[in-house]
Amino acid sequence: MAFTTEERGDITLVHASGMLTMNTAPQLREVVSGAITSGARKIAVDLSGVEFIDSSGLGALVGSLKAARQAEGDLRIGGASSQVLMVLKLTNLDRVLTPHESAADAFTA
Amino acid sequence: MPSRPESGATVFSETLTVEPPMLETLHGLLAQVWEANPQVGMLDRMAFDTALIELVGNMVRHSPAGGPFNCRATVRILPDRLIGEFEDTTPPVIGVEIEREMPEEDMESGRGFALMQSLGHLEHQPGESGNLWIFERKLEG
Repeated sequence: MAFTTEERGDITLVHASGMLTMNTAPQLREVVSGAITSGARKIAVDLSGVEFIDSSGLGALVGSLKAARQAEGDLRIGGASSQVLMVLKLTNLDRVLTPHESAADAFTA
Repeated sequence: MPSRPESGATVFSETLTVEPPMLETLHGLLAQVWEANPQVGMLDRMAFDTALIELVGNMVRHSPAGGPFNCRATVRILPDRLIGEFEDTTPPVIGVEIEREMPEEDMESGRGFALMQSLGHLEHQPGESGNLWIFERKLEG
């Protein structure tokens, strides 16, 4: 699992790749937390490279969303695979983490 | 309650070490299972993968073993269902409620068992000699 961040205007893109599971979920929390500390308020998590997510990964996304909102920002997701879309829907998390076609467009679409 | 299927249906059975890296190992092993069994539809593969990897994560999380332990992992493909079994010889896992409601959207944990139950039927049989976890999914195609 790898995470990289990219600034695009006032949006911070967090690119994730690999499996987002209990092994890697803490890293996502750290990356997003670090971005917020650095001043990021609009965070878009690019899930196009995530081949699999489990409930720990979902928990990290929820925690990151809450952290962004507590900082008066927002976190959105884009590029989710079929498996990610399936678990978002089954867990009802698609209500708070609306999947966007692309993370880059998550704040404009 | 899942029944033990006929022996001819077993496509995978080996001893694995239950520890966090096993999630990635199991994902790779299941990919090989699907490559050899293309008749199983994408939705069923995805659901089965999700449930089994979730299950192993919960075995790691809830095990009283206090560290890595071995289990016998078996995958069976039948004409109408998929079955995954994990059998270990660690102390029985007790106090884990596997029938759970899906948590509210703002909760950061507690979704694992509810997610598994939404994908099929999960059963846990703790015993004096270890634990048997069985996940069964009826094929949707």
